[in-house]
Amino acid sequence: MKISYQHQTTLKKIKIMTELFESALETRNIKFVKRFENDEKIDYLIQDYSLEGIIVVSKETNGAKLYINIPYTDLCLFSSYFMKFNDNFKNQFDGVLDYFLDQIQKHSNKFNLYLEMQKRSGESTTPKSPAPISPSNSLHSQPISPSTTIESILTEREIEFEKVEGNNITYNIKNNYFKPVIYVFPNGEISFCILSNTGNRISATVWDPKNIHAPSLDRILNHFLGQFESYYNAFSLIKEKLIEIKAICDYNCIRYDSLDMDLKNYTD
Amino acid sequence: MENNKPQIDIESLLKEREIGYTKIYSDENQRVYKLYITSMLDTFVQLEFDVQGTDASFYIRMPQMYQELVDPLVWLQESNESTFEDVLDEFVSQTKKLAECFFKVKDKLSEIKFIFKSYDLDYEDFISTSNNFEKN
Repeated sequence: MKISYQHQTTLKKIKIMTELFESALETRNIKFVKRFENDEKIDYLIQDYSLEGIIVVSKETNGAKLYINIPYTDLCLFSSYFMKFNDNFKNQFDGVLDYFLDQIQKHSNKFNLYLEMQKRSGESTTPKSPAPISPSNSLHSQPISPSTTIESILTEREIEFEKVEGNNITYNIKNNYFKPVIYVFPNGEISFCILSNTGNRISATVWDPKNIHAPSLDRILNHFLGQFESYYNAFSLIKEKLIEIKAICDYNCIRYDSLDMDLKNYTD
Repeated sequence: MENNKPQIDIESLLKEREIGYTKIYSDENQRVYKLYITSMLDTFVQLEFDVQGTDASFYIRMPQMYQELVDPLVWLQESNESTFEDVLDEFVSQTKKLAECFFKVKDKLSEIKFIFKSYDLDYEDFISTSNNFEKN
């Protein structure tokens, strides 16, 4: 006698759906982790892609929702699919899952291409590209706080920093030439600033997790770190030139400290 | 006061040395010239030749901006050991040396500007903080 899906209890429905998904993903050699699990829903994260493939099996929807995120934003940026748990569920399951995995692959390829183009456009000005993020850092089985992400990446890249906790959390990154600072605000916004030693702002970027167009935190942090590495290289080169200028001035009895660095007053 | 020294023809001396000049001011007592010693330092120095002084001294005035950078070459004087021509030659030599120095500094600053452009940094910001930066 055929048992209709409609007559399954909710817990049993969830169990059947999760078994189907886990079995299907394993058959396809797709790595995944359970990000969240209780009696109400199970949340799967599919790995091995630049983007997150999320499968949520839930009592509330009486089915499974499949969608694609940019990591850490918790925002669905791309197509989502819903599979209702009914008599037709099993029939549509393989087709929908394959289509979904195909979509993740395509979006990830596009996203990687976009990142590669960004990287290439910055290569001429950025001799040191940011270190790649290891999969273990980009994907986690548990939601992680922005501070954890920041500290993890800074530690991974062996960047010395000082953490100051108050109303905001401030990360002062140690640097000889300027002051890279990361502020984590209570509302979730994160500000990435590079200040000169006199406090002038060289660059600043604000990351707003509510902005659906914002890149993920780890990406913007790596961009920020790449930027300040680039500045560090630039300032190292500039300091060499300044030392040469000072030597010329000293040799010719010119007061270096009084030199107008623009020299336009001397030439115009 | 009578000046027993022979009259110095400063304009002939400048022409001999191919130093461009403009006579800015002249009267019986004093003559003032703007000298063009190098192309970079077109308006670099001004020579005031005092024909009244017994020592036939001349005063070289430098623009204020250069006075901040180097010790002004002022009141160069003839002496028993050095003639007016010696002093003038020394002055020209020092001026050219200074000009060459500024060319070198300018080249280095151009290189710094290029670095800023390459790294998309703001040079104006840098100028305002360069003193502090240098101390690092």
